[in-house]
Amino acid sequence: MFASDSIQTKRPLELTRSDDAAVELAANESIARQSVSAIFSHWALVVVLLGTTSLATDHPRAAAGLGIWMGLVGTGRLLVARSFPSLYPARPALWSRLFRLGLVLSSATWGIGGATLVMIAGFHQDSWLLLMCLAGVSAAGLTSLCANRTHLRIHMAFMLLPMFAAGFFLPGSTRHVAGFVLIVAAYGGFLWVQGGAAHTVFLQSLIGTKLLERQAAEVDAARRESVEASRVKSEFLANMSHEIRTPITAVVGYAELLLDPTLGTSERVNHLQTIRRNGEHLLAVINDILDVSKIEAGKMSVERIPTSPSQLLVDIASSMRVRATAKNLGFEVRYQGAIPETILSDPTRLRQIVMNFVSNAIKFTESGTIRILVRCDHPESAEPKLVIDVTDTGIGMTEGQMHKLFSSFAQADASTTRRFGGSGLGLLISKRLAELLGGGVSVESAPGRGSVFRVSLPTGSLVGVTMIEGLVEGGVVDTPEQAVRRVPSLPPSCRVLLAEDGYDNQVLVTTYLVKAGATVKVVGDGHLAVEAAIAAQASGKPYDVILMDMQMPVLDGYAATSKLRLMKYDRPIVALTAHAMAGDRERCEKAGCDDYLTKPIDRAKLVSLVAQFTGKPRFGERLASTFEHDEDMKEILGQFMRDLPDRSSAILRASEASDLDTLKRLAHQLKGAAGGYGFAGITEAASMVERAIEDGVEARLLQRHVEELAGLCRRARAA
Amino acid sequence: LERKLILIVDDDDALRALVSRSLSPLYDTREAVDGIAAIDALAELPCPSLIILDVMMPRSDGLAFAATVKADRRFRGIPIVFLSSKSSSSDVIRGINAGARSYLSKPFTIAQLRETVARALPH
Repeated sequence: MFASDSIQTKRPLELTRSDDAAVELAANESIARQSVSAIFSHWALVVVLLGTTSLATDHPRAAAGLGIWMGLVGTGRLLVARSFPSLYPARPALWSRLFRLGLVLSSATWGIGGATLVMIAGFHQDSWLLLMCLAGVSAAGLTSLCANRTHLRIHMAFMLLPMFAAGFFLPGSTRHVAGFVLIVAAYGGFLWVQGGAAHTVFLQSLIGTKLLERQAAEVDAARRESVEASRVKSEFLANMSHEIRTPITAVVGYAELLLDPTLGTSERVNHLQTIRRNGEHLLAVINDILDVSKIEAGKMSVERIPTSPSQLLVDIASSMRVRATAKNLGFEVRYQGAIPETILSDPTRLRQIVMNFVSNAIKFTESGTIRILVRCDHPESAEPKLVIDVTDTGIGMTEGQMHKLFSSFAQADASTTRRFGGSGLGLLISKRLAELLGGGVSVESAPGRGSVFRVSLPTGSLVGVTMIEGLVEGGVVDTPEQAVRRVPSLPPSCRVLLAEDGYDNQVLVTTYLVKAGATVKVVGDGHLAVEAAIAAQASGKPYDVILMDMQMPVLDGYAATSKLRLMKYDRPIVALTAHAMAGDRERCEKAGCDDYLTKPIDRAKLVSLVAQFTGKPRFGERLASTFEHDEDMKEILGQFMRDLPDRSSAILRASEASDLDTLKRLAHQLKGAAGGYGFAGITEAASMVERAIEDGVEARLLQRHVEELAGLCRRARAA
Repeated sequence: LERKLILIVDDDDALRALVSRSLSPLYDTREAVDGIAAIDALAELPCPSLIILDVMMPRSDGLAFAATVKADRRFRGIPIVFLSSKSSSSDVIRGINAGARSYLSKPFTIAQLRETVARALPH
């Protein structure tokens, strides 16, 4: 599963283009190096020749001229040879031409000069000396010039052909001439053949060396890669082990803490929430690991079915906007240009990719806005693409971090995932999924400047597909059909009594509830409501919830509710009221309502409230004081119980008004009092409220603590 | 008899709270979220009698923090207990080499934690 593509298959050795260039460079380098020693030996031979032959004494001026010429040519060649490191890499052709010029001048001087001298001297001792020198110099070319066959052949031709030609003009017998010419020709032929062989041998050894070098480099690279892969693999396993063991430790540890019998209710709830949160986190990590394994093993398959990009974005927005809003971040979906109504892709996977981008963006952004920009590139072409950019205003990344993001199992920083949660595998999964869908992902970012994550996917052919212009997010989100889909359903056994005098509201509430699956009985005033409720209870089939309008003729909702409670009716009653004033809620509660809905009725709120009360007793289990049967306590306990609803509603009022100072004071008082009257649970809940204010927790969480406290107060009543 | 103070260093809130709660009936505790924060927490008085250290943490990991502690003459004598999900023998050896008195691998039970701490504390 790790870097399996890095293992190289064994390939036959052969030269590549770059090897050819390397061989040519090495050959020319060898020629340049060797020509330096060749030039010095040439100079030495010239000195020997001029010193030992009669040339210097017979023709002093010619000898001097020859000496000076050879000195100049040699110096020129020396300069060319020395210029190799600087000139050859820049202008190889020029260097080769210069080298060849020097070689031709030098070889021609030897050859023509030698031939001239032999013609002048005839079969004299000096001529034999000269011939030996020529034989030696031309043979030396075998080693110094074998790297280049053309150089070698030019050298030999200019050395020996003049001498061969001169042989014919030598004064002497035909036998001598023929012998001389034959010897020169045979020697020339021998050198020619030997030169070719030397060149081949030289080239083969050079190529062999290059191939070995390359092989060694390949082996080394493969070794490094496999060491790196194994390091990455063990780091990955260590990270995953950490990611799995940490939540398990929390689950095991908090479960153990729960065994402590002295724990208060709210502590238990907190521990259970920690266990649930860690369990969910663990599940997410394991899902990611399974996804990665599946992808790496080539077992992940993707679909190509008609997929609506705008519908997909609505789904994503509806679940991610909540999380963005909870962090006080803006959240926008924008469409640029016309978007195809459907594309051929895998909705599940595309959703997974974009959700991953968005949840990362939310995680790493402290303030600002998360923007999703959707567009369709080249809709007219053969390969249109859907491009989705997710832009955040978060902490951003360095080049190095970006490179690491998608490239390996190592996360940008193993530690950031710990800080922000998640397995850190999300981006790797997104990248592989996008590739499976025929597209890709990319990222642009700078530290402190936020990031843009982009997924680009082929849409499949758009022939015959409607292109929608001017899509806006809000217009799509709020279509009534979708609003309906989000409403929870009720069990068919759910029976609701609606006490409401207004016809419109009767129809509306009934429709909402019946569509959600409930059975509804409607009555028009409080008196009928009381009759119907008592009759149903007596018949053993009580209503799950009574929805009680507070303003009704004959008997209003407050009076009807109070009357029902007096008659020991103990099922849930929910007040419906047009009043949205503070104090109204309190009034309803005093009358005996369990909860409260304001008009106009919000469909989702209505249904979920009814769902919440369905099949449940009115207040939950009765909370009894531990001193309930203590005769000495009876009187003061009664006083405490009578005051409790007032205290509770004062707390709810302070919470609603966000008056934290009052709320804290009331919670503190209740904390002190409740324990003394044998209500440890209320003390615990009140102290949670107090602590939550001290810790400055977010309003939603505080609200939950307050509601828990109010719930406990409601349940605390005499037997 | 004065209660001993234990410094708990772990980046995971739930785990830090778990360790702290498990030990609080017996010891005083102080918490830090990573190696960098732990350096400040260490400098506060009174000096802790023991450090419980997670190995994998952001910014400065447990091994680096242990090295810092062991390099400082004032804190060298404070025993360190590592908490880690790495449990191979080479990881344990690395932890012991970094100066750990003891090495507890995750997940652990509260009893194991208390026993390890009791054994590691100087008497």
